[in-house]
Amino acid sequence: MTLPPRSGIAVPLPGPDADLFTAICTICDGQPTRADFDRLERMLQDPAAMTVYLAVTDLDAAVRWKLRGRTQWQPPLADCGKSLPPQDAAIGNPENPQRFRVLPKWKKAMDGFFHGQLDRPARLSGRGVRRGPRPTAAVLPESPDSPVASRPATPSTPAAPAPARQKRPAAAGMSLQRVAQLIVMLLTTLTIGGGIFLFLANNPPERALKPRPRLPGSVACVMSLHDVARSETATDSVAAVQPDICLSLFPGQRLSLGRGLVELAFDSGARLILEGPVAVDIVSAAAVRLDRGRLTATVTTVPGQTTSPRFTVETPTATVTDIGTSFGVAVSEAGLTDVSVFDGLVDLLPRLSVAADPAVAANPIRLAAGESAALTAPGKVFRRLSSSPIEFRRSMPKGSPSAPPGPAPVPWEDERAVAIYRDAFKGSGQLAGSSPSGGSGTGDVAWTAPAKNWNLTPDGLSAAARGKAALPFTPQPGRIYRLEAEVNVTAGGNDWAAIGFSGPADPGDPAMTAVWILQRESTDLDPNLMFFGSGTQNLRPITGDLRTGRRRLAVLLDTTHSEWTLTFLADGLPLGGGVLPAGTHIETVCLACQGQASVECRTFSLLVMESPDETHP
Amino acid sequence: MGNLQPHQPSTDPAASQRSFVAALLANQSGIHAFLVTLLPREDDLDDLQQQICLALWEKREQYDPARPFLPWAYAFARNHALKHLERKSRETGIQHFSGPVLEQIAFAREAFDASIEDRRRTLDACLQRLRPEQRELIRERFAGQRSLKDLAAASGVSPASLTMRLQRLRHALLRCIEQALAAKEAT
Repeated sequence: MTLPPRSGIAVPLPGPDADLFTAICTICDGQPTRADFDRLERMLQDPAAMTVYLAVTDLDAAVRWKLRGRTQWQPPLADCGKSLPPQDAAIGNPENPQRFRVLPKWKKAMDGFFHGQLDRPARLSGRGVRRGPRPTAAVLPESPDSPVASRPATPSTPAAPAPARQKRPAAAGMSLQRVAQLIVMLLTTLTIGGGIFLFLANNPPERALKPRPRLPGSVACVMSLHDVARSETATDSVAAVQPDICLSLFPGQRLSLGRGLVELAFDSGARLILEGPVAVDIVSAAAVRLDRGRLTATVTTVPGQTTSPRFTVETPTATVTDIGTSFGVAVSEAGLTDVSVFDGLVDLLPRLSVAADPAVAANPIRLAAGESAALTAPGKVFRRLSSSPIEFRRSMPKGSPSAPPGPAPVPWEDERAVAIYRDAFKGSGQLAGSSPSGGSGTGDVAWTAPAKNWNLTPDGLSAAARGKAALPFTPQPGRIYRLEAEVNVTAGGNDWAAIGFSGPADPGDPAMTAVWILQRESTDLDPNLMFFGSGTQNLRPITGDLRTGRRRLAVLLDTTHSEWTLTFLADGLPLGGGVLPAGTHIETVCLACQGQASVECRTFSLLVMESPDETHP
Repeated sequence: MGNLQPHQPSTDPAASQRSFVAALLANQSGIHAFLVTLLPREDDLDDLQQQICLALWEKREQYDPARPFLPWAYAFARNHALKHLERKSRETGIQHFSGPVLEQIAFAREAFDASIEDRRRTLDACLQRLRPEQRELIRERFAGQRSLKDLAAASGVSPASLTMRLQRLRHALLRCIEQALAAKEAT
């Protein structure tokens, strides 16, 4: 067969049973002997045969790469050791995602690179260099294009007439800006060659499409929440997503809520509304696994992306693939699947094993707009329904802003802040009874801490026993507090160390108040980064992987409004936050160690910034 | 693959480092494909690929941004693949291509690069044309954790017949790609 000439190399494909083809496949799939290799090696002396070999192995490589679920080598900052479930729209998702292990040396190299970006000093104010936490913005930039030097646009600035509550001032430290740009740059280069970049950078200023810098490796953001609680019966839940903050979601992560609505935005362009009670695993930017509950998906084309969008919802009994569309999927307690299509087309494929009857497997149902189908038993085919028995939520409720119910936090300005406590933990002996080395609150204040294995060393604090070290602190209204510590959890597996604000009681007390950010040595079992005491019922969708050595963890508490706002940061990057009722009883700032975790801590500081006068009505 | 280049050479070391990382990350699938061609039997290439990345990273000063990234990376990949095979065959006695043939393959592979992007673009459409159970088999073979033997046992067929099915599937996909490319060329 003569193929017309083309830019690449035409492959003189032999028949499927030709000796050459069999020899190649034996090497790829079989248990080849030395003789098999010798035979193929002789054949490969013919350039045409070599071309066939290259075509076959490149096919294998392409399929393998697709199934690893990465179009890129994700920066290891966020995905080290994480199981990354492969996915691909054209071929679907495997049952058993392969584990992926990041080599320590490579991780170190890339961490160094990313940290190099993170640690670049922020623009210094003219007030001199202060030791301790570097200036970092509490709030993200409006867009990665906003000028690096932009300062907070307080309401008194004529250029920013909008009330602070609606228009978030852009106060970006340079390093944060760079991280944002870097992440955007990586996405740009790697994912779809420019499509996402255009999507992020050039979209009209609709909130939903704004870039939200986040940890590398994440594939989606939590955009908004409505009446969310962890259990169906909880009544005291308060949860919010701050605008312009991406609550990053990573492949392999599970979202589970008892009640309420959560809106997610995926890098692929898909928008999902989850309706509690629901349990969803994030598979990739273009796929989720729905174990129970309902979701609706709206899949739009990303500008600049030419291929038709596809989004896959795996359920225990079926695979639902969209073809540019919006649709709803519901999974019952028994794992059965109901699907309704609102727009476009959807393919339904019952989940069957390899050995299943090909006649059944080969017949996916295609649903058009307005059609519904249900699976009445596992392993059976879908049955079309005349009308959907399920009412799907197709939009977030009106009047439920994607902004949190809480007020916008006042941007942090390091140069206006004053230290209440500052401790480098230098010295020797026990931490308990020692006083912080600096800050206005020092006086005769001393640490309360466990007596054993919480010791000062020349290199800082070394804690190797469960417990909590605390300094007294009660927040006053009208201020912004920043608690920050440089920690490194060196042992303990999934156990964690944390910093945060605490109420009176110990962990385990149902009345305890705690707003802590955690670091774990391993996140295999639980990637959750937040600890809210049981007295502070809250959604905890904020997860990630912060176990790459030394981290600067921070919690910002803004008491300038009728609801108190919390922001959690790691290395200056806001990860999420929430609100607390004003006047929540807090009486300490603390460093805590749970389970078997050991932690090294070099600096610990609590800063306060008076609220700018303009924010007081 | 696309052979994505670092951006313009810059005098700013941080910028050139960023663009180097961007190129390194962007060409991962190219490096991966090169490794699969040299080591078609190796199912787990993650460690090897990261070692190569590390080597590239350590030698980043030597890279000339004016030249294509992948050929430069291939040289590292080839050396690491050879070392890997040597060690592995010493440890496990596993069979592999002889050194000279590996060199031939690596050499031919570079020329083949020009075709790859077109081929990959047609692959998606070809995969979609497969029957669902065929796609499932491919998924199991390339992303599952079960060996072909276990897979065969689970499907109630012999390993030989599963190997034969995979051979047919590969052939069908390649034929589909060839036809699509030829058709595209003709129009």
